[in-house]
Amino acid sequence: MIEEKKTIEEKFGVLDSVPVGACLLRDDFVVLFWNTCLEDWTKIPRDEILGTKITTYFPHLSQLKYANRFQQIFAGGPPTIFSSQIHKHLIPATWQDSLQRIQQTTVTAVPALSPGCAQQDIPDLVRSTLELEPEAMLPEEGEAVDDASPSNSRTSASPYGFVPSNYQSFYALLVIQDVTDLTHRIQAYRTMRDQALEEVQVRQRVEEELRSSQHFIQQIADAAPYLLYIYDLTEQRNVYVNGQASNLLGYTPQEILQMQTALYSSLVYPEDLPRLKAHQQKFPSAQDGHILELDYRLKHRSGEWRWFRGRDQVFARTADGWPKQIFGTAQDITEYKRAEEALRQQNERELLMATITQHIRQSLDLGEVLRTTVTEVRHFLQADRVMIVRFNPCTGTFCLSPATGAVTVESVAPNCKPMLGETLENFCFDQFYHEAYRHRAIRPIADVLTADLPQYQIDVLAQFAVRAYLVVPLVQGDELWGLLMAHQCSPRQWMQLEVELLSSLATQLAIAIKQAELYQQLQAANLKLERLATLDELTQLANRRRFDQYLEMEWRRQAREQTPLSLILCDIDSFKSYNDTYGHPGGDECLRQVAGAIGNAVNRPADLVARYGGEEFAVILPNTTIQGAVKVAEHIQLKIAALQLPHAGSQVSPYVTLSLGVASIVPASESGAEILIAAADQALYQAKRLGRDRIQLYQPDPTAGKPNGTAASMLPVDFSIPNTNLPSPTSA
Amino acid sequence: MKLSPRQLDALQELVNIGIGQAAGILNDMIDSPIRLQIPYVQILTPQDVKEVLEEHLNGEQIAAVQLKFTGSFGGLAQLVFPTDSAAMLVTMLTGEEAGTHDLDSVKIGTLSEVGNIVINGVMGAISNLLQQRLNYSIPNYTEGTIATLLTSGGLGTDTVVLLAQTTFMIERLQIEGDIILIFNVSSFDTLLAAINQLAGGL
Repeated sequence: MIEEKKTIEEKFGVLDSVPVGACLLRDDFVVLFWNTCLEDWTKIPRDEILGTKITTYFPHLSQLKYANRFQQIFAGGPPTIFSSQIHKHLIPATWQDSLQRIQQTTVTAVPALSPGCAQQDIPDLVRSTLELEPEAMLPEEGEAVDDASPSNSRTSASPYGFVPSNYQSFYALLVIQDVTDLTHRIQAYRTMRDQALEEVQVRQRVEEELRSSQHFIQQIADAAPYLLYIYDLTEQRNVYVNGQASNLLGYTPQEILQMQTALYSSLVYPEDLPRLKAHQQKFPSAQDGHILELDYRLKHRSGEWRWFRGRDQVFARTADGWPKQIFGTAQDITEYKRAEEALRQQNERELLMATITQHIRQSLDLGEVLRTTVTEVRHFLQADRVMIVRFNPCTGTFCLSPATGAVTVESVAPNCKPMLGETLENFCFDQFYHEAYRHRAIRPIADVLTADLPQYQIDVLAQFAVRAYLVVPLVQGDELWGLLMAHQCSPRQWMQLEVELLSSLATQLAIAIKQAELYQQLQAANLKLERLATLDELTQLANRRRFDQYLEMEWRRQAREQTPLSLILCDIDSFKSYNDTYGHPGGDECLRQVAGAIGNAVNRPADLVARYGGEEFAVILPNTTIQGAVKVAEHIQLKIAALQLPHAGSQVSPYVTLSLGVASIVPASESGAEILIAAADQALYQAKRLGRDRIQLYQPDPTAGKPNGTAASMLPVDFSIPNTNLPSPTSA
Repeated sequence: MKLSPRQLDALQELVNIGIGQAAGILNDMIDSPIRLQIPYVQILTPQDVKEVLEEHLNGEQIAAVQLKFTGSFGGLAQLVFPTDSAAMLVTMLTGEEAGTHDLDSVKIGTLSEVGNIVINGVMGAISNLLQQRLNYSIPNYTEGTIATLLTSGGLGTDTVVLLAQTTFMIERLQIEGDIILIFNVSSFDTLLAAINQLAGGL
């Protein structure tokens, strides 16, 4: 035994210097060798374990799953592996932190020793075991065979009948490799791999969630009824826009993004570009979350301009805090703007209507009304020409519609050929249009060249370079009074608003025209009434009322001017007997004749001839001296004489004669005209008293209070007809 | 090489003894009962074995544990698992999910030991029959197609192949495995002689 131990130490001692656990078991599980590495791992000293059954220290090795496999080895069977996966701790050995070393064990059959066994074979065996080299061979059988093996004396207890042919006994050499570190590394690797796999899965899940949440946000963004965009200020292009772009602009988001820096020049209304640029200049000074608003127009794919209200804020900044991207919404406010514009135009229209109506009311003069209208309308429409065509009243029996019209009023741009005074024949006055106009149909023509117009109309319009026009009928009751026409020398799309304005204006204008015409008629009636009120119907001379007014008026005037006012009163001599002789119709005729003669004798416009009474006439001569008045009186006498109206009942002449009383005075403001009448009356009385058919003068004292005052104040002067020498009036 | 039914029966019995021993060891090792089916044994030429196995394994990647033996009786014993079976077996034995796509150390370690047990069982039975001690190399684990495994296993024209196909049954799982023994012709003759002696003795 001692010899065996010694031999084994000689042969296997080399295993003390390898970093693996190595132990040699005899077929009775007695430990024959125990290297220092195992001493270190198990803390079991070699001296203690050698010669002892290993199952004393490690009872689990007596279990069948180990024992049976060891038996194969002891029978010289193939090497046996106890892998670190299935048998982690074949020879339990603590490592660190109370962990156990993980072991990979290879058990090899080693022929029971004989002294001649080559020592160097053992390290080779260990090396080949460790390196798992398949080609590494056990020592040649011949070298290992030794009949001096002590195991020969023991009976082999193999239950499986492994009986070597030469009954050779084998030792089991356990080579235990510490793979703790390797296993841990592998476990760490597996953990790492599992974590990586899990991370990948988590990442995939997160990405999926992100995708779905992006999808969710995308859906929200696309469902929002306005444009959502992110505009990059430095790159000057949109980096995001939502799906509403398709609805609101007619471009897909991709198309918008593909516009790159041409975005603004492609879509923004040119006039709005400077405002937009100015708007963007505000962002450097804008706080985060501060929203900047701007209204601007964008072009829809269809070419239509749409109004948008942009609400922008800084979305991202550069490293130095400068705004880089702005996030904004743009709401389509086209309808709102349209309503606003409609309201504005409505206001403008109402204002214009008010202005025109006011102007119309300020004047009842038709011409002025029409001139105001065309001026205001042309200003409103910014048209080249606005004019009113007045239809010539229909005269013919078969004239259903006016044949011609004349341009009566016109407001025209300086560079256009005027049409004022032009007569328009057959110009849109035919039956068809007439009916249309009567029903107040309005004809907007955007372009005469494309409208289906009769050639003669086109020709007429071409003369005045008219390309577009708007015609509104002016209707008075059932009659087509005229047309209000607006002309443009370039094609023009008339707006509904303009048509409506002109339509309502036409109604107003028709009323104004009616009013003006009524006013004209009224004025004519008034003139007539006035004439009726001041005329003597029989003689067509001024009546007594008119005489009194006129005399009073002239009295005051001459009093102011201190010029003489003269009055002639005349009376047809023996008119009672004339009436008796010739009857009243004859008397009336006589009165007319005399009136005519007196009227003929008085030439100055300021002089007034009036029928003063039944057969009495009066002549007011402003600014006329007594001498002048006497001349007029004499002229009257001559005219009457020239009539040679037979007067059978006259006692002074075969013809009708007059007695005339003349008075003259420089009126004083403190006295009345009665004094002059009284004086003339007095003179007339004297003329009759002195034998009729004569002229008597009487010059009242202007300072006298009453005409029928003292006789001394009234000095009758008699002028015989033949006597042409004018005597100086006698003064008191 | 043509074997008589008796010879084949004897061979089959020999392999069966080895596998039975391996099954016993495996049963001791793991808690679940493991059962090895009685193998179907054929003796084939190198050309035939390639065809048979390629058809059987469908050209897929396989895992193999090889054991070389030398001396007067030389050759190669290997246990071949289809990849799926290998993975199932490893999971069964270690409770760990083995990666099927790489040379996972857990798989290598586990399969090496299982292969080692099975081959040792069979080789033990053979060496016992021959009353001869064989020299063995350390078991080796390798992966590849059947063609590369056979080539690396030294399948030459002067070899005879003993193919034993069996199935491991663990907890109703079927894990297929093929035991391939490649012998030198002279070695096979030695084996046959021993079998004949055994058969004659029966």
